[in-house]
Amino acid sequence: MTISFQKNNDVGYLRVDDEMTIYTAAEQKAELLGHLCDCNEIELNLSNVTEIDSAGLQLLMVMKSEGIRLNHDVRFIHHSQPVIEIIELLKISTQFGDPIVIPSEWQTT
Amino acid sequence: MGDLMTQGSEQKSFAAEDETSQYLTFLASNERFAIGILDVKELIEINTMTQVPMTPDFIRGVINLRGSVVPVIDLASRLGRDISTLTKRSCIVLTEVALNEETQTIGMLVDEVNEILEISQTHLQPPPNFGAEIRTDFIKAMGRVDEEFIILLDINHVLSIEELSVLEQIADTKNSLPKKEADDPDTMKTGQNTND
Amino acid sequence: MSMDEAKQTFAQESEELLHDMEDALLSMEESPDDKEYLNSVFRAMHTIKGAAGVFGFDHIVAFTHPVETEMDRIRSGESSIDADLIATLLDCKDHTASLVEHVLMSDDESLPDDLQIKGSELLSRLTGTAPNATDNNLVKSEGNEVETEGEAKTLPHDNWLISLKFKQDSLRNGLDPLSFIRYLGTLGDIIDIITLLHDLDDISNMDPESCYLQFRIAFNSDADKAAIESVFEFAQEDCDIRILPPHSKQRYYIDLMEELPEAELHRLGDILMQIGALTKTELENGLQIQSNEKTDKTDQDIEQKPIGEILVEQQSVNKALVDEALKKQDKTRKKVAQESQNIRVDSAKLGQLINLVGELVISSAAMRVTVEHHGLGEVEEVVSNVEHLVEEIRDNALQLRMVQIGDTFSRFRRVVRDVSKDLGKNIELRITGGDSELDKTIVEKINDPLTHLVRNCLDHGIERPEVRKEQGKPATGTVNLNAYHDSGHIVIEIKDDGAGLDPDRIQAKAEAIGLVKPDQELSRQEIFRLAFEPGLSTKTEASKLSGRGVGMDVVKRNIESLRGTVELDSELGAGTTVTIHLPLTLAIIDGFLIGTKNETFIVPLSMVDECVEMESGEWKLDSDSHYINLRGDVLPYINLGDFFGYTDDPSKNQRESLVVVRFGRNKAGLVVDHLFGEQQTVIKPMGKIFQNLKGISGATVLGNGDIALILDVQGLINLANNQHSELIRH
Repeated sequence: MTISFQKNNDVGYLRVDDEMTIYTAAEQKAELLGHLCDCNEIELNLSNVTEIDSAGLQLLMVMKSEGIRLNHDVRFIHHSQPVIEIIELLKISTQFGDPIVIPSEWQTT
Repeated sequence: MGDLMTQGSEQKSFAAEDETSQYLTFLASNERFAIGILDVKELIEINTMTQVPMTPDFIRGVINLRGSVVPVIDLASRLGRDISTLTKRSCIVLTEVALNEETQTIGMLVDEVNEILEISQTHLQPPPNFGAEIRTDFIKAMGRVDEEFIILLDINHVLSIEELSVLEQIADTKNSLPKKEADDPDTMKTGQNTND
Repeated sequence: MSMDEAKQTFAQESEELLHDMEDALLSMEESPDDKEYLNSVFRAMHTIKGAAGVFGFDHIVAFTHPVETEMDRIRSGESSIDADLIATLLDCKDHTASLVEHVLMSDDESLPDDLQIKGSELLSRLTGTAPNATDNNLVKSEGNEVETEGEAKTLPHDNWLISLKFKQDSLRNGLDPLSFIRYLGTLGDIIDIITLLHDLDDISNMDPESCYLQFRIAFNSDADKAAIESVFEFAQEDCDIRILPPHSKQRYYIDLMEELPEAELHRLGDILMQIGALTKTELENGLQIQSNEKTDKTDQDIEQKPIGEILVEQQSVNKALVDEALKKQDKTRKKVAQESQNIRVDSAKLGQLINLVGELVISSAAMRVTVEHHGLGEVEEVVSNVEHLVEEIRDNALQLRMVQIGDTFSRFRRVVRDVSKDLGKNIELRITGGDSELDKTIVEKINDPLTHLVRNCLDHGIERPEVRKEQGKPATGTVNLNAYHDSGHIVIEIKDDGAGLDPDRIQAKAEAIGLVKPDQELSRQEIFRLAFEPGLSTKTEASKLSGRGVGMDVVKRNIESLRGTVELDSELGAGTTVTIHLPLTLAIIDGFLIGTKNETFIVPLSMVDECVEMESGEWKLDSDSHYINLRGDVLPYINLGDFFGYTDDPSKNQRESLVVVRFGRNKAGLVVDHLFGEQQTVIKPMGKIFQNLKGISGATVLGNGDIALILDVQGLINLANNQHSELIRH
């Protein structure tokens, strides 16, 4: 399992420890959305996302929109560099609404 | 030979190289003249010539040269001699004269065309300052052939369009208003009206 | 096309446009509300700018662009037209001409300081007259890339709008939409991007391996549409791509569209593609949709949807652009229709044609001579036919070189305007008969003499307003330029209602410089003729205008070199009229062949009034006073043979004839021996030698190969008159 899950006071703490790409998307979708339904609040730690592509991005967007639909709070934290890059590229940080902490070891690509 | 050398050095600026050029010789009022062969466009027999009234004597008229109208100058008259009489041997030497950027074909009426001569540059002398019976600027050089000197004519002066047309203007003022003091009647043969 | 040729073409077109512009500006002074003039000025600046841009003449672009912008503002009603503005625009026109000349004359890229300064002065003057104008309107242009104004001001960003809608299979097909967006970033700045998911109603049904992404991108780039589209080249199958140009680009497209040559009619899609507003793929898609719709519709009556509408629906182009393209198409259609009536031809080619026609005329005459000589009666009809055709060919060929004199006339409106301002005079120029036609070579050569004559009117003729009022004349003086045809000639009149010339002063001056004898009695006409003599300038103080060293004598000489004549008439205090007669053509005329003694001459047929036989008893020759009494009319005459000093032909024809020739109002008789009849006459130049010859104006070659001289009727009439006055005086 590449996603770790912890539940505490109806808050689900999730961490993806893998890439989020077309290759992993099917598996990740089932699990992430499953937890989203179970918890009123989700905090998704993206620090270990080593790679993200359109499929992964889609998944993140779906998480957000599904959260809104269910009135569940979905937060992304500890964005990894690949994730930040994609958020920057698509200028969706406001859309996602999560504070992004730019790591000090930021590498310019 | 030494004689020649001296002459050559004396005329250094005039004839620096020992080159020969070809000249066409012809007769006008019993004198022999020549012009550079490169100045000759063609030689034509006299066919019909149309007189142009109210022009000086030396303008003999115009001819039809393959559809173009070409003026013919009487060389003898232009050089101050009598008007030449047309004979079987009379001939028109066609030349091209430059005016500004254009060239105009002009015919030169001569009594007889002779041979083409080769004259070495070293045998050319500048025109004499005096003694010649024709205007010195008409003479390009004197060419020595055997013991005789032939006058090589400067076509651009003899047939200077500017001069030919200016002369005509003088002829012309006689008939135009306002009247100036009468021109010397001797310079004019044509253009006078009978009732003066 | 080499650069030099390009420059030549550019300069020539610019000159024409600037000329139109000047015309329009001057007309605007009179009718400021006429939009057509405004458009004409705009068009001139716009087209020159466009062409300059194409050739990379940056200075011209930099100058004409703000002028064009200003014109646009006026067109839209933001600024208004007043005299100052027109004056400034006239200066702008001149400055543009200087810039064009600079480009033409020098290969130097940089602009001389004076031109630079003049340019910026003019631009600030121009925008100064319109206080609303801001510096934004004076966007500098660099190279071919013309940034445009207007909309750019109202929008914070002027961006391409790109809409991408990826199809579900795109991820499975190995595409990653993000990589396209990254690549797009290399072509320009992604100003904003909106990422959406589409077709995703139920999350539970979502296939994570399908693509639901949709992007709206605001993109700022100098790249053209095709370049931007090429970014998504590999995604075309899997993605719905729409690229809308920025607003300013829209303007740019419209500009480009206007500049498209109107020589060929193009289809709408082609027009849009040519200017880069539409890419080939977009067009193909559009056409596909169009043909699909057609097959879908079973009802044959339903009209096929126009491609323009489809393209707008597809958001390939916006509507304004399609409308503009349709307009362009319409304009081109009209222009093509018009151009099929007009062809530009090298004038040298025309000249050659006319020379050949001339030879044809002579050959045809030669044929006639041969036929008559051999009595070939059976070919008579064929020969007549050919002659008739040759005549028609001649007339048509000559007609090709005919142009209206109006253009030449209207150039003087500027001169009159500027000079009268400089001199503090009020002068109005009236032009009539501008549609009279004459040979182009003559038109070109008449310009200088006309300019001088018009300037004379302005400078010496028309008085200052206060002087005019004192004399009870209207404060505004009038200069009339008139042209009309008369007996194979065109007559040009330059008439002013100014001070007129004082014959006594002219005569006094002529005496002073020795042109006439002190006690000489001269007719009024003779005195005014003196005005064309060298050294006679009636005004004692030379003014700025006449101080150009060109006198009336030069005017006369120029006109005479065109086989024309010039006359002057004047009434002191009432005005001066200068009348110029010019032949309509320098090539071929209808002649009348006459003979005297053994010589033959041509009289232009248009000048022959009538011919009378000797024995007709209608005329009586008074050989003492050189007058003829023809049915009560007394005419001066010349006995051509005697006059030219020909010796008598021994077989003298006793039956002399009288040819009455007319020139303007003057008539004279020519007594000749033979009348040979009409003859098509190809005028051959006689060469410079005869340039000062009066009485003979040229030569022609007859059918038998002989040369006949062409009589200068005007010259002869003068000579005949002089001959007479001479007699009276003696």
